[in-house]
Amino acid sequence: MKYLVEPARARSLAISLALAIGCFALLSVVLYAAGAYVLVHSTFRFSRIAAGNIHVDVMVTGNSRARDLLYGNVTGSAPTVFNLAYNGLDRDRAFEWIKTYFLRGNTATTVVMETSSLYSKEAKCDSKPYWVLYPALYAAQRASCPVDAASARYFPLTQFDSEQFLRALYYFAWHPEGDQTWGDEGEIPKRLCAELPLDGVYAFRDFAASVDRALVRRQIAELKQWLASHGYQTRLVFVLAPFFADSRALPEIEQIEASNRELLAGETSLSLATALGADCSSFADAVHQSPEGRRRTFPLLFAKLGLAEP
Amino acid sequence: MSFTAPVFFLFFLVYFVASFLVSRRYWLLLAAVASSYFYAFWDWRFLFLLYYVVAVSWFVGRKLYSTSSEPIRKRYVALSVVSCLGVLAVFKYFDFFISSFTQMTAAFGLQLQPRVAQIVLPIGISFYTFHALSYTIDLYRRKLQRPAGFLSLIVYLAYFPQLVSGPIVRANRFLPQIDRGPVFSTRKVKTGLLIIAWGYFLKVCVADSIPGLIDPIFAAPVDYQSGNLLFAIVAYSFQIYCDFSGYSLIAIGLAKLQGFDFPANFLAPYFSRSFSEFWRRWNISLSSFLRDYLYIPLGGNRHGRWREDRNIMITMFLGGLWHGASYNFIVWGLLHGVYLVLQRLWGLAFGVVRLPAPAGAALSGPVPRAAGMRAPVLRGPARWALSGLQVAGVYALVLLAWVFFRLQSFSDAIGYLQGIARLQALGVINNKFSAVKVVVLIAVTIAVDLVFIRRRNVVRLLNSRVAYAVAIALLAVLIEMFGSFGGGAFIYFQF
Repeated sequence: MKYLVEPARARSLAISLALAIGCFALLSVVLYAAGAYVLVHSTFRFSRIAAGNIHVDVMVTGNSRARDLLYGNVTGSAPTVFNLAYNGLDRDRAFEWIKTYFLRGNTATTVVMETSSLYSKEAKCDSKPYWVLYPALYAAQRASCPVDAASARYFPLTQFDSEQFLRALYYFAWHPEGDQTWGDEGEIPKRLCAELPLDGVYAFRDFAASVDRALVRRQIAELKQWLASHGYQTRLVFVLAPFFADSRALPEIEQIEASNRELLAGETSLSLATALGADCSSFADAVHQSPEGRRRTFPLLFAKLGLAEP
Repeated sequence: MSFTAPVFFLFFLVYFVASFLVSRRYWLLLAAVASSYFYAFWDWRFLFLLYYVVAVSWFVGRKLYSTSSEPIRKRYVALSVVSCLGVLAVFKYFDFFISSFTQMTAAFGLQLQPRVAQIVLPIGISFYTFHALSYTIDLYRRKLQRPAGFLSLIVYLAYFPQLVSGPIVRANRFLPQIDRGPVFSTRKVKTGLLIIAWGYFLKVCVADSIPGLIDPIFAAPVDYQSGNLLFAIVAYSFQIYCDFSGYSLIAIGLAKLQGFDFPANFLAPYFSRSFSEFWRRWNISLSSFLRDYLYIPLGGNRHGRWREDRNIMITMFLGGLWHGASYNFIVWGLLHGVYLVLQRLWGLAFGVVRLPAPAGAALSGPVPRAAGMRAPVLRGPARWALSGLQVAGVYALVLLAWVFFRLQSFSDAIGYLQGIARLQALGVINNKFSAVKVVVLIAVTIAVDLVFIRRRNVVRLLNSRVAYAVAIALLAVLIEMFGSFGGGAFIYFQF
C-alpha cells in the first residue's frame, strides 16, 4: 500500500478522531444519565413501582386484555387498583414483573392475572430499559435475551431502543399524572357490529393446545411459594377478561374456558369471558374492552373478588 | 456476509490491516481472496459462476486487445455480452420466462406443464455481470487502453464492498485505481469514516426500523384506512432509499478508506424537480450505465422524437426488469418511462419554466436543458413556490410507482391505490411510539439531505475539526441507540 500521509494532515486526522471519541464518550454518559433519570422519574407504570409506595387492594397484570380490564385507581376510594399490564406481556415476563413489584416494597392484597398471557409462547425482551433499574429483572431475563443482554453490557445505550422507554419518556414529559387510565378508547362502529372479524378470539385456539401445562403449573406454584416466603399474604386470582361474545365466538370461548378449568384446577379462577355479551359499545375490538366495557366490568369483577365497587 | 453482521467488522479489520502489510502485487491476491471469501460466505457454489464470468471477460479482453479487425472484435464483444446476459437469463429470468410462456399459451387454450427449475438467484449477479459488460464494452470502444490481468479482473468484478449491491463502477474508472493499488490518504480516511457512519445510520437506524411498522399493512391493506396506506407507502419510499443508499455509502466509504474513489450513487433523489433529475439522483450508477450502454446505443435522442420516446420506454422497461423477474418491476419501470416521455412532451408543448440550477447540481453533474420553448427564469418567492410544487409533484408520482414496486401483483397494487383513494383519515396505528420514532428518524434523514445537498456544506464539515468530531460522535451514538446489527439483508441483495 502506498502511503500519502502528510504529517500536518495525519495530525489533523488524529486530533479529529480523538475529538470524535471524546464527544462520543461525553454524549454517551449524558444520554445514559438522562435516560436513567427519565426512567426513574416517569409516571409510566413500570417506572412508578420503583419508588415502592404503591399499596393497593388489587394489582392487575397480563397483556393488553389485562390493560383494558380495569383502570388503575391508586389513591382513590377503596378498593384501590394498580394496573401493571402491558401490550403483549407474556407469561414469563408477567411473573417477573409481579416479583419486581413486590421486591420494590409495593404491596397488593390480590394479584389479578389475566389468563390470555398464560398462553403466550415466546418471551420478549422489550423490558430491557428497566434492567438498569431492577437488577432482579435483569437477572431473570438475561438468559432468555442473550443478545440484548450482551448489547446492554457493552453498548449501554442500546437499552433505550424500546417502546417501553419511549412510553416512559412520553409520560415523563407530557403526562405527570400517570398512565393508569391508559387503555383502548374506541368502540366498535355500529356498522361493523354484526360482521366483526373475530381473528383475535380464534387466535387462542392454538395457544390453548400448545401451552406447556406442567410448566405453567410449576411457575404458578413457584410464584405462590415466593410470595409466601417473602411474607406477603397475597391472593393470586386468574381472570379471563371479556371477549366480544358473538354467537360465532361462543365455541371458541367455551374451549378457552375449558382449557382454563383444566390448567388452573385448584387455583382461584374467574371467567368474565361472556359477561359483556356482544355489546358493541363495550368493546374496542373483539378482544379488548372499551371505556364503557371497563365501566361495566368493575362491579362484576369486584363482586366476584368479594370487594366493594370503587 | 452482510455489512451489518458482526463478523463483517472482524473480516474488514483483518483485511484492512493485511492491506498495509503487503506489497501491491500481493495486495491483488489478498483482495481477490478476501472478495471470494466474502462472496462464498453466502454460498460457495456460486463462486464458480462468478469465476466463469471473470474467465470469459478476461479471455475476451485479451482477444479484443490483440486484434484490430473490427468484425472479429465485434464477435468477441458479442460473445461477452451473450455470456453475461446468458448467465443473467438462466439464473435470474429462466423461471419467469417459463411461467410467463405457460400463462401465454394457457390464454390460447394450450395447457403446458413445464418443469420449473426453481433456480436460486445468486446474490449480486446483476451487479457483477454489469461490471463484466462495462469491462469488455469499454475495451471494445477503446475507452480502456489495455486489458486487465486476471487478478485485477477478479478484484474489479468481485471487490467485496460493491460486489453485492453496487455501485456499478465503470471499468475505465476503477481498473486504473486497482492497478495503482490501495493508497492510505488521511483526507480520504476522514471522508470515508464519515460516509460509512452516515451509511450505517441510514441502514441500521432508519431503514431497518421501518419494516416492522409497514409490513403488516402491505400484507393486508384492506384492513387499514387510507391514511395508514399512505403512511405505509411514504415510509416504504424512505425504507428503500435509506436501505440502498446506506449500502452504497458504506461501500463507497470502505473503498475510500483504501484510497479508491467510487462515484456517488444517490443525491437526495426525493428533492428532484423533474423525473429526468430524479434519475440523475437515484441509483446513479445504474441509470448512467443504462444510458451509456443501452439508451445511447439504441439511438438516444438522435433520430427524432418518436424514436427517442421508444428508446426511453425500452430503457426503462429493461431497467425495471433488471430489478427482478416479476411483472411488478416491469410496471414500475414502464411507469417511470411514461413519466419521462410525458415530461418531455410537456416541455415541448408548454415550454419549460427555467429555474436556476438545482441544488446539488455540482455533485450530480450538469442538468441538460430541456428542449422546447424558453420561459423566463424565475427568482425569489415564485422560484421557491414553483420548486416546492415540482418536488411535491415528482415525489407523489414516484410514490405511485413505488406501490407497483412493493406490492407483489398488479391487482394488489390497484387495490392498494383504491384504498388510498377512499381518502379516509389516519386510523389506529398499533405501534404509535415506534411510528413516532420512525417519523423522527426520517425527518433527520430529510434534514441532512437538505443541508448536505450542497457540496460546500460537506467540505465545510470536513474542514472543521469540531464539527466533524461532533458529527461522527452523534452518528455513532444514534447507531448505538437505534441500530440493529443482526446481519439483516439489504433490499437490493435480491436484485
